[in-house]
Amino acid sequence: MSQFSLSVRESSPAQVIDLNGYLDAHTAPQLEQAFQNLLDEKRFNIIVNFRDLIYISSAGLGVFMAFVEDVRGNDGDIKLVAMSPKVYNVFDLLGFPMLYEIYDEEHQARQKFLDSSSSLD
Amino acid sequence: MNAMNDRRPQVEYEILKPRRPALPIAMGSIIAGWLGLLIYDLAASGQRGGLASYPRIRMIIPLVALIPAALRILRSKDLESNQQAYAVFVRLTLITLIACVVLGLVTIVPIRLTQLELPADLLSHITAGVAGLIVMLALPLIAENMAQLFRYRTRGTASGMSRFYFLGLFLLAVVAQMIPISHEDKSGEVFTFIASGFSALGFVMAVQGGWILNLRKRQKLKLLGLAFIGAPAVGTLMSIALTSDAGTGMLTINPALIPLIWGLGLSATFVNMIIFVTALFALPTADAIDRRNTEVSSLANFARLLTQSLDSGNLIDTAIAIACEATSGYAVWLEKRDGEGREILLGSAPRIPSQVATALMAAPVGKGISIGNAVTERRRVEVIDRLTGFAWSGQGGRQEIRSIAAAPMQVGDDLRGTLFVAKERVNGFDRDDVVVLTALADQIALALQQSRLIQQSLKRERLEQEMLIALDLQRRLLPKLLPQSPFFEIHAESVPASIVGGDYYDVVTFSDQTLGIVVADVSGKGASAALYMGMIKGIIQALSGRCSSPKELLAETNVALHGNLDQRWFATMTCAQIVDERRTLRIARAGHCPTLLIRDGSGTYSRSKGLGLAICKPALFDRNLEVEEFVFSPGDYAIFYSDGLPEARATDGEEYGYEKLMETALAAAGNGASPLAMRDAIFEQIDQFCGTEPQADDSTLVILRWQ
Repeated sequence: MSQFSLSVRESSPAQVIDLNGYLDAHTAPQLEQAFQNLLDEKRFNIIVNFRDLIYISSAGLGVFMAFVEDVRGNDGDIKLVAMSPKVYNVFDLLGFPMLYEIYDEEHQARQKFLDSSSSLD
Repeated sequence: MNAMNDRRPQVEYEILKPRRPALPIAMGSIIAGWLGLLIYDLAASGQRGGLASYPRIRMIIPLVALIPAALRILRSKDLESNQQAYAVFVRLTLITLIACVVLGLVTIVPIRLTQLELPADLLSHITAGVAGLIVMLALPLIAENMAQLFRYRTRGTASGMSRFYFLGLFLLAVVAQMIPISHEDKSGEVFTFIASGFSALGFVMAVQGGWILNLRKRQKLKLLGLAFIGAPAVGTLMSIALTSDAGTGMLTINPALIPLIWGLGLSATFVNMIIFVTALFALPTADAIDRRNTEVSSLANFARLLTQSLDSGNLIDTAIAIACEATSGYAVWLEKRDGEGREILLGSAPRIPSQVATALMAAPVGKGISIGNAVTERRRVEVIDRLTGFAWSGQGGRQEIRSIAAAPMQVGDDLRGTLFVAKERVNGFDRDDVVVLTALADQIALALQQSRLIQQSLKRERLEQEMLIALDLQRRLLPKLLPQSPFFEIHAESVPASIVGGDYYDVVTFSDQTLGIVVADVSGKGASAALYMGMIKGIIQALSGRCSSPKELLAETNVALHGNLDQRWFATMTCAQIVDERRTLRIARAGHCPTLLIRDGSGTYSRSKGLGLAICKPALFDRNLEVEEFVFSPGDYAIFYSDGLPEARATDGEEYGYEKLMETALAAAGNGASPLAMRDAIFEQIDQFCGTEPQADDSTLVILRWQ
């Protein structure tokens, strides 16, 4: 029914999760697993690219909430990029822009990670 | 052989033996009648002397005593199976033999006693009495069992004839009492002749031996032996009763026994002879019939099993038992294949160790292919006629499997597993076995499939029940009464997408007694959503009385929810306080859909700042929560809803959207629609837009109109 796929790639210093299709209660566990894998590998700089995501439901939103505290507790972050206006509206209604950094372009988020890591050095 | 057991059809759960109160009564009556006769004779002999001079009418006494036994014969139930008939014949033979032996002993004893020099007169009277008693007791028992055999598998006239036969014999015995027997007249011979004629009827009826054909071979052999002993036993019994000293004495006491002994005795002889011959001729085909019977019963059992295969463990045991029986196998097991892989099922009482079974499945059939794989590839029954090396030592000592057959279990073209049958002898499987195995294997596959389907549908049914309970719970959570006022009108409605949804609306009373409307959307669906909803309702109802504004209520609710739940879980909520029921609303939005306001014929979405509930810490939540206040005029609307409305999706994936929602509401408002009419307009538009596409989300609509 609902079509969803994701892929994970490295874009130093961050890991990028590309989302595609419909993220709802049925497909959210896939994203959850992807986050869990990254956390298990101790990779806490995570960018989620929404370019090809058509729809997100409340269950999909819940996934981000599930991991953000863990990630931030390990000096990392989840940054969201390239949302369509419709998807952004869903995040915006919930007030997510107050909780997450949301960028139009992936490189902006990557730059942000670079900046924060260099400031740590 | 317990005579009590075979009278009635046996029911498995019936522990008590079927009662048979008539038997002791019948036997007691006979004994009493006979003893009465003897005592009367003894007492009378002292006075007169000479039995011949006694009134004949006294001899009716033992015959009257026979009446309960005769009634038993007439009333006895018909047999219902070949097995019962078999049991009746076994009983008949046993009774005959016992009577024969006891009567024989009685006739021998007096010879010894004579040497003790007792008065011969008294002694012979006693011996004759005892002999008569034995015959009197044995006759009705023999008659009863014969009556059952005669009636078995006969209908209508034949059944009536058998009753007539026994009734006629009885009447003959009575009439025989009424006519004096002496050496001069030949009436005794006449009765004997008539009784023999009756026995011819018995012969005709004894021909009903068809039931023998369907017995098991062992039973046929046993019948043959019994009938072989039975026929001479009856003959001996007759000759002792009719010719021995004790016998003739007994007949002098009660000549009525003569026709009974002749009639029954000859009939019993016929019965034995016919059964002997029938069993003899049935023997050559016994093996084939045995096999056919087991096959038929196995298939019948299995068909029954198919309809009640609720318990898959039990099902496998039954399947194994049936396969064992149908193929005379020593051990049977299944290899089940499904999505999860293969599984060897030996049943709850395996007759073969699993290692041996596994080794047997790998036994080669032909060149380099195991029997298990051969069946999988070729989809047909494979047989290995001669095996060596598959021996083990079990409880019953050394066991060895010498041949094995395996059949594919298929449903349509789908292979569900393999059925294995192992035997202890070489060349254990003939062509018939292969045919039976093919059919059985498919039957088992079907039954297993059916069992799985039943399990699934049971599970689904349980889930549906659970959902219905949740739906009921959810309906109870919604308010039964909405605020009423001369200044505004409200309509509220929630339509779940599936059985149970995550939407919720409620009416609250703030600390200053002003009323408020709450619309919320709980993340998640189904039963868990209903539970969360119940929790939120509890929190809101408990907190609202302590809060004076929507902002305070939402902030307090967030405190209560934050950190208490699954991290993934959150809720969105809009809370509107009716500050002044004439015209003022105060609205705060916690991540929920913006409220649609229609004032003076134009629409706006009130999108005040506010995070969803349970998303972040109270400090952040409070800092970001705004409250807006709106003043309305008559004819204005405030429309609260859930995301199910703007996100309603058409078949092509397009969403209904906020713009269309506002357009529809404005059009309805232009007509001065009541809240109910506006609801109809909005839902109708959305239905038109979506067509038949099933909706993923719930739709909740609360419409407030000033008037």
